Amino acid sequence: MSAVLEMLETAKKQSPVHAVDPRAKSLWLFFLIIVPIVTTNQWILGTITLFILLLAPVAGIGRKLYRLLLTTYPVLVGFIMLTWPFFYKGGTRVLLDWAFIHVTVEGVIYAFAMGLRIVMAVTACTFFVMTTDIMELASAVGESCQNRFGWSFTWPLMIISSFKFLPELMGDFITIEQSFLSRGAVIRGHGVVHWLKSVVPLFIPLIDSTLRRAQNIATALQLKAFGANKKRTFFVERHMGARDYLFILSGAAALAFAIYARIAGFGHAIL
Amino acid sequence: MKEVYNMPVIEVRELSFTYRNGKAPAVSDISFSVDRGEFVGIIGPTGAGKTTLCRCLTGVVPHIYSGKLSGEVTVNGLDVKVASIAELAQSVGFVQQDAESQLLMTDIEKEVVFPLENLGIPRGEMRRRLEYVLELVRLTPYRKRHPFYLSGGQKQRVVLASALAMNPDVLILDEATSELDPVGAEEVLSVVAEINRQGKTVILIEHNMEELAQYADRIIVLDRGRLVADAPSRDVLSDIALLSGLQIYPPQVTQVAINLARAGIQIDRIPITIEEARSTFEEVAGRGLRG
Amino acid sequence: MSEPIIRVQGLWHVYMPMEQLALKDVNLEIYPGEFIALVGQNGSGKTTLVKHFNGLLKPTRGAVIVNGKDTRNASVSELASTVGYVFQNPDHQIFAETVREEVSFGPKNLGFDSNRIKETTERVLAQVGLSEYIDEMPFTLGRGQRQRLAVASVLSMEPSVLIIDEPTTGLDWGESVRMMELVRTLNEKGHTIIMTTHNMAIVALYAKRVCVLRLGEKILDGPTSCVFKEVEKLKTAFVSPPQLFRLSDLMQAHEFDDCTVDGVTRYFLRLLKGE
Repeated sequence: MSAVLEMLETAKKQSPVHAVDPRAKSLWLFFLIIVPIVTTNQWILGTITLFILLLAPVAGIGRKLYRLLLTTYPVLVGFIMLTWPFFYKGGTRVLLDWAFIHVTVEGVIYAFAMGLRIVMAVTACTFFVMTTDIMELASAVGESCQNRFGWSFTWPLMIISSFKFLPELMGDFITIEQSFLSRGAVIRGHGVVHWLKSVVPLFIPLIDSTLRRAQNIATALQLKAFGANKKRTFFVERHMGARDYLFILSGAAALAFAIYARIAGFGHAIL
Repeated sequence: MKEVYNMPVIEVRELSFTYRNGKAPAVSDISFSVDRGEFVGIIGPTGAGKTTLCRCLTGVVPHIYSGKLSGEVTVNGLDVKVASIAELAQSVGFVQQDAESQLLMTDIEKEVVFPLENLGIPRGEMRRRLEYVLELVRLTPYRKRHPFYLSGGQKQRVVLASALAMNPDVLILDEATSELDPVGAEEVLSVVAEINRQGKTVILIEHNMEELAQYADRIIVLDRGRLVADAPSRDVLSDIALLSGLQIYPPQVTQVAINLARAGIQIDRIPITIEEARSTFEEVAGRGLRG
Repeated sequence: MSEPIIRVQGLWHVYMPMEQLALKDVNLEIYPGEFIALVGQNGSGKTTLVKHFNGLLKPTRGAVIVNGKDTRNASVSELASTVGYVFQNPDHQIFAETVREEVSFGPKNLGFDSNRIKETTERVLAQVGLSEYIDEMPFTLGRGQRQRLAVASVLSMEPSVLIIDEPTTGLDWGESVRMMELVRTLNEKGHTIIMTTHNMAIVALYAKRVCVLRLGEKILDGPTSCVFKEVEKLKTAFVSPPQLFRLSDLMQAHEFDDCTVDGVTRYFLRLLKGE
């Protein structure tokens, strides 16, 4: 819960990167996510990852991002680095050859490149989440959809509100759990089956309080004139500017180069 | 001294309402009117119909909670049976008990402009109103904060700000402070008093008689759906016979003064606030010391 | 003097992971049969403190000894038979289909035999005045009744200490009095009562001892009428005593020995009539 809240707060910071239109940033992310699907070239993947890492201090999230990634990288990459070499059949420079186990230098490099794919994707996603207010994104996409297609703002609103209510529901759940514990209920530490059986009653008050909330929300929405005007206005002014296009372009360029590399024949891990 | 205009902003005539699944009417045969600029308190025990009455004044009844409604309710010239809740919201702001579930956005700023966006108000005007109401409820420094990090009093002031942004003439608070600690309650009520001084009409449902004595010009008493009293605050709060039947107790100083008056001591004006009590009792004591 | 049933020694509590300091070196002894109110603003640490009494929270530093047992070495369910905790919002605990089932949930968890469960369930329901609703659905009860049901479902575990968090929030005066009369009866029967509340009128009427917290520190602790006379000090904790205590502070020339409505009335009558 506190991790989600902290992420939300980080996304509200002010910086040149945070100021980029959320739609531009999501396009950028979309392009960058395809790159590691198209290519396994460790130099391309490495360069893009490095680029994002260097951009982090500009966005004022350097320390936070590095600290988070330092705890994520080893788990992700470690698993891949440890398993992939055993499945890599080719390669000439043999490191270990015992029974069915056959590990080569090429295999290790290949594993490293596979790891980099994940690392790049994770880095790009984390960077995006830390610099983009999801609410802003939902609002911006909702605005575009209203202006282009005349769609209502209901879906974006639901996304935004869920980020408002999620921490509160978690808080409710903790209180409910504590009230059950106080009545001698034993919930944890006796296996999954016991846990499932003892946790079910907790959902009854939780559902009750959620329904109560839902009723209040419905009233609040109407009191706040939601849906009163087909053409709602938006408080935040959004114009795609040079910086926004530059962002989209940089993502597109990275993807274009990755596709070119694949066609030109150096899209694979270079051994 | 604030101005109260002889111009009814709310008119209720022979209002009765029964909820769709209700057996008995929640309110029955209620008539009163409220003038522009008045500060009216509504009191009564649980089940007296206070909340239902507020819902009728804001259009929440009959538009969200349906049932059998008879009689007339007009707010700022709008008939609540005909006007939509959104239309009414621009005339009456409604603040309810549970602050948390009246907030929908992830920061204060978004919450305050949300109704304005929905009404299609131009950006410049939105910005102007946002700055004004944030200043009014004293939350400008916290504008980017997630509601999760706000205290109860702050949350309720955000609800208030969001209602005030639509620039209503009337503000209705339904036990808006009953879940707050005294500091939180005071934060909310002092803002409400300020809004009233600026000429807005306020209707306040409140359990705390000391707070009501301090702010309300007039008090309406409900019991089991009926209006049983409607008079200036001092008259209602000194009517022990009426209140004790409803298990409502006037401020302690008022009780003391009434006891003294019953014991034959002359008290010209029954005090209802602590400041009034101080001067009344000092005057009374002075008599004693002289005699 | 008897042994304290709850002893708090140099208690500090820090909430992780945000590292908020919630309690700062709190020392407190609560004796069997006391009726104590913990007061202070939201965020002053009242709830954090009481959650240590039944082991829901463990000390960051210092110790809490309940009935001779260090809470660090005891689980919440072990402590439940000594310390009952009634949460503020009854709707956060009510889950059963009948009132009977709700009340017998606690004793079942504690492993009481079925005869004893039946007997205690019926006894505590009679105590809180809900006998006639024993087979009803809890959700059909009114707010005040649900509050008393919450008390019953904790009482059924036969704890000697009852913690009651904000017993009168959301209740009107009539319902509040009904609730508090129940609590007073329980106290007279020997239960130790620890309540947190913002309602000072309720404190003045029912609690024998008041403990005031400010930003996690205990700043006042003593008999109710003494604590409420410290108007200035209470102000720093944003606690406002009942109106007549404040009036007494305003009218320095007069010395009310009893700051109740009857007490102050008598004072002025004496003054005027020389009685």
